[in-house]
Amino acid sequence: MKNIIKPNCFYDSIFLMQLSEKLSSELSCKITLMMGTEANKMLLKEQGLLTSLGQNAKVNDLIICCPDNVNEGEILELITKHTFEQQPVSDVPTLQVDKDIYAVANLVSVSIPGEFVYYEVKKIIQKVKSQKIEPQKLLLNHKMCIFIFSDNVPIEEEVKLKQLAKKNNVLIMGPDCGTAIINGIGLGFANKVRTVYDTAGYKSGIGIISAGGTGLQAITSMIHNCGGVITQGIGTGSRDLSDKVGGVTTIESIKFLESDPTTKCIIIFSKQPSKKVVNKLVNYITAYCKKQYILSLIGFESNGQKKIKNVVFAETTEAAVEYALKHFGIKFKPTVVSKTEVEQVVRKLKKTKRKYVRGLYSGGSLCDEAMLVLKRYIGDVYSNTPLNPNYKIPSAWESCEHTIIDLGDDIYTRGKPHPMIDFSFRKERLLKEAQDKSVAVIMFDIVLGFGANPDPVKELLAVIKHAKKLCNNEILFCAVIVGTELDPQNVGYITKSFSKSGVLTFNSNVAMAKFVGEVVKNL
Amino acid sequence: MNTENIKIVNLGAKWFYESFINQGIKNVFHLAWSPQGKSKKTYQLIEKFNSNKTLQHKVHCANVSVVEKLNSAEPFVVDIEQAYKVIPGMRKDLILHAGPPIEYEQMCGPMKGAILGAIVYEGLANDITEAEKKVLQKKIKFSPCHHHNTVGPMAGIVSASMPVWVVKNLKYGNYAYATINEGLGKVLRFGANSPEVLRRLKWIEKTLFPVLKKVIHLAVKNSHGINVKTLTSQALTMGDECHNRNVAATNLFLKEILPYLIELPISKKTFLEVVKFISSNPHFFLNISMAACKSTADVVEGTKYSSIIYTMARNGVEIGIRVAGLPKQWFTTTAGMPKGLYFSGYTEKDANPDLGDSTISEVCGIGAFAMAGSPAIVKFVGGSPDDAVKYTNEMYKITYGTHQTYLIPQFNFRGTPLGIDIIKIIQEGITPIINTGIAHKQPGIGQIGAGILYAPVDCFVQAFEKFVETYL
Repeated sequence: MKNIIKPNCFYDSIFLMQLSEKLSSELSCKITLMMGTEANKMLLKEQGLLTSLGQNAKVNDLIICCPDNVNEGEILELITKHTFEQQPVSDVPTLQVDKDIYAVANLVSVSIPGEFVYYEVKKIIQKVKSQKIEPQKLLLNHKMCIFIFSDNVPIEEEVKLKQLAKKNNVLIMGPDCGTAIINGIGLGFANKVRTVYDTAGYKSGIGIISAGGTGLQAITSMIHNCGGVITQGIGTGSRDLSDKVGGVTTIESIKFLESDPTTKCIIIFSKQPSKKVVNKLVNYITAYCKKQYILSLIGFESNGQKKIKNVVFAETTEAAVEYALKHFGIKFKPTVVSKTEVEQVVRKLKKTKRKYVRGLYSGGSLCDEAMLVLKRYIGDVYSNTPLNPNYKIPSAWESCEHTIIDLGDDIYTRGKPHPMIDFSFRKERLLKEAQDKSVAVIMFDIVLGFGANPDPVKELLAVIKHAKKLCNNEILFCAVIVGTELDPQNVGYITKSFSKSGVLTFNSNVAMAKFVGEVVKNL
Repeated sequence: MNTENIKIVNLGAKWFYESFINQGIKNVFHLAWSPQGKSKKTYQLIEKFNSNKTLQHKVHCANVSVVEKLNSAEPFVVDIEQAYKVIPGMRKDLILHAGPPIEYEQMCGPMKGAILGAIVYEGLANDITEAEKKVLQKKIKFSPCHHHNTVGPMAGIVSASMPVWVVKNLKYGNYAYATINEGLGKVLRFGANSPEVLRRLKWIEKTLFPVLKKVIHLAVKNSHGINVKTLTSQALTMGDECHNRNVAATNLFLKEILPYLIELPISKKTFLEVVKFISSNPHFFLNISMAACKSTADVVEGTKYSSIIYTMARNGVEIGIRVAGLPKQWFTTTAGMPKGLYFSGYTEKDANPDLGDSTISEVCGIGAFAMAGSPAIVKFVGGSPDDAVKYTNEMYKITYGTHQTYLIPQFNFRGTPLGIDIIKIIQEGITPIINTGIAHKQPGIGQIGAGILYAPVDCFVQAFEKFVETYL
C-alpha cells in the first residue's frame, strides 16, 4: 500500500467516493481518494491505508491510497481526466463567484464537511441578518430555510447555530438531515409525492416534522400511496429532540404548521427522543395548538398513555399514517399475509431447522422500527444499533442469532456513499448471511427517490438469485419498498420485479416486521 | 409546481444540485465549496479576530500606514557596483538565491545549475564538476537574496563579482540590489551554465558594467539618478505590467540613458554593443524594477499590527511570504505550477515549479495585479483581455489600498491594487495572482515558457494563524 499526494486541489467527498469506485474498476484494484483533513486521515489510519507521506497531507491535498504496483503517472492522469469532466469549464484557475448570492437566495442546501458547517452557516445567517426582508409564508414563515445534510457537526455547534438562526428568523433543518420536502421541492433523499403545491390544486393535507430521514420518506410515501396529500415535510436533523438541542427546529416547525391553513393534522417522528423534550413538546402543543398532532417516537415510553388532549401517541410510522389519513376519510391498507400463508411458510422453514432472522437496513429509522415491532414477537434482537444496549453485536462484521443491521452506521459507510446509493456492502453481507445455516429469513429495505440508487433491480436481483442458490432456496427473502410511482425508479415496477424473483414484498415496514415476527416466533 | 419564488443555493456537493435540476427546478445556483486550506483552528481564529474590534482597529491603522509608505516610496537607480562592494554581508564564498531559505540538496535543477555556473564564473572552480565538489564539501555558503536587501529573478543567483543595480528609496534612505538582466534563451537565471553563458556574464562585468556605471553617475549628477517610478508608471500606460512584459519600460530606460551614453568617451563598437544588448532584451528593465520594488517594500518590515505582506518569493521548491507585522518570519509551502504557454517542443511535464523573487512586483501593485492595463499579456494563459480585467478586479478584494502613481487607463485611471492583506486573503478565499516565466526542471536548458498561477493558499493560512495568535 502506498500514498500519492496531489497538492493544492479540493474535491467534495461525494465526488471522490464516486471517483474512487470508478478508478478501482478501471485499474482493477482498490483505490481510495480522500482530502487530507484531520478526520479523513484518522479514517485512513484506522483502515491501515495511511503512510507517513499521507500523514503530512494538508486540507487542500488529495491523498490517493493505492497498491504499490500502481503507476503514479497513470493514476494522476486518470484523475485529471475525470476531474476535468467534473469541471468542464477550463483548467485555468477559476475566478471566485460573487458570494452575495445569499442576498437573493431563500433556500440553502449545505453539504460540506461537518467540521466547517458551523462557520459557513453562521456566515450565511449573518448575511440574512443584514438584509431587511420580512419572514415569508412560502418559507415556513421564515426569512430563509437552511437544509444541512452534513453530519459530524459537534452538538454544541448545532445548538449555537439553531439559536442564532431562531433569533434571526432563519429555520435550520439539520445537521444530519437526510430528507425534507419544502413547498413541493425534495431536498436530500426525497420521494416524489403529492403536495398542496402541485398544479392539481389540492386544498389540504398532512404536515410532517421528522428527525429521521428514512422515517420521513416512509411516512410521505405511505400517505401518497394511499391517495393522501402532504403539505410540508420538514426535516429537523437527527438530534433535534435531544436534551441539548431541546427541539428548537421542531417547535419552530409546529408554529408554522399550526398557522398554515392547508395543514389539517401533523405527524412528528423521531428515534430515541429525550423524555424531557417530549414532555416540553406535549405541553407546548396542548397549551398553544388546536390541530391534531400524532407523535410517532421510537424508543419513547408514554407510560401507557395513548392520548393527551390533541396529542396522540402512535407506536409506529404505520399507526401514525393510519391515524392521520382518517382525517381525510382514507383507510390505510398495508400488505397483508393470510394466516394460512404464514402457517405454510412456517411449516416449510421448520423442515430446514433454520431459526433466525437477519435484517439489512439502509434506513436507520426503519431499522429501529423493525426491532421495536420484532420485540413484541421474539424479544430483543441483536444489532449494531440495538434498542437495548445489552444486545449490541460483539463484532460489526458478524451476526448472531436474530440480528438487524443498520447499514448506514458510520462503521460501514466511512469513505463510501450512503447505502441507499451504494449497494456493495449490502450485497456482500447478504451473501454472507445466506451461507449461515441457522438463518431462516432475510429482510431488507429498498428506498427509492431522488438521489437513491437509480436501478436497485439490476443491482440486487442477481445477488438474491445467487444467495438463493447458496442456501438451496431454503431462506425466505422479504423486502419493504419505500417509494412512489412518481419516483424515477417507480415503486410498481420495483415491487413487481422483486416479487417475480420470489422476494416477498411489503408496502409498510411495520407490516413486514409483524409478518417476520409471527414466522420466526414459531420456528 | 409553483416554485418561482424559491431561490436555492447549493453549497457543497454537486450531486444535490443535479437532484434539484432533475426535479425541474430552475432557480438553483451551485456554489462549489473548498476549505481553501483552512482548518478548524483557522476558522476559530477568524471568529476571534472578527469579534475583537480593538485589534481590528489597530490592524486597520497599521495597514493604512503601510499602504501610505508603499505609495510614497521614491526608488532611484543611483549606482551600479560589484556585489561584494555594496550588498550587506556579501562575501566571495557566499551565493545568494531566490525565494525562502533552502539547502543545496533540496534545491531545484535550474537553481543548482545556476549556482554551479556562478562558482565557475567567480573562478572558484575550473569547471562544473569541480564546482559541485566544492558545494558538497560545504565550501560555499548560501543565503536568500531577500536577507541581503537583494532580489533576483528566477534562480536569482548573485555572486560576489556580479555587478548589481543600486536602487535607493530617496524618501526613506534605504537601498536595494539586483543583478543586470542577461537576456532571453540560455541564461544563468534559468539554470544554464555553458561556456557561452559564462562568457556573456564576463562581458557584462568587463564591458557593460563600466559603461553603465559612468552613465548612472552622469544621471545622478544631473537629477539624483534614474527615477524608476516614473518609468514604471509610463510603461504601465503603454501596455506593460512590468513583470512579464517590460518592452515599453526597457525602451523608455534606453531613451533615458541615451543622452548620457552619447556623452561618454567610448568607442563606437562598445556603444553599439551596449545599445544592442539592451534593446534586444525586452526584459532588461525587469531587474531594475524588482530592485525598486524591493527598496519600496523593505520599508514596511516590522510595522506592528500590519497584516500586509512585504515579501513573496519562490525558490522552485517552496513559495514563501513575510508579513510586515511579523518581521523576518518566513511562511512557506510547496510552490505551485504555472498554467501557461510553452515554447514549441516543451510541455507542462518539463516545467519546474514556480521560481524567483520577481513576485516582489505583485507585492508592490504591478505585475499580474496590473494585468488589466496589459491586455497583450493574457496570451500566456490563452485568455482574453476580459480575463486580464477580471484578474485585476479580483485583486482589489485582497488588497488594502490602491496605488497613487500606477494607474489603469481603462479603469478611469484607478490605481492598481496595492498592499496584499493576509486577513482579506483568508476571509475572501482568494490568493494573489502571479505572472511568471517558466524554467525547465533540468539545469542548463533555460526558459521554456511563461504563465500564470494563483499563489498556493497554505502559506497565507499559516501566516494568518501566527498573526492572530501574536496580536490577540
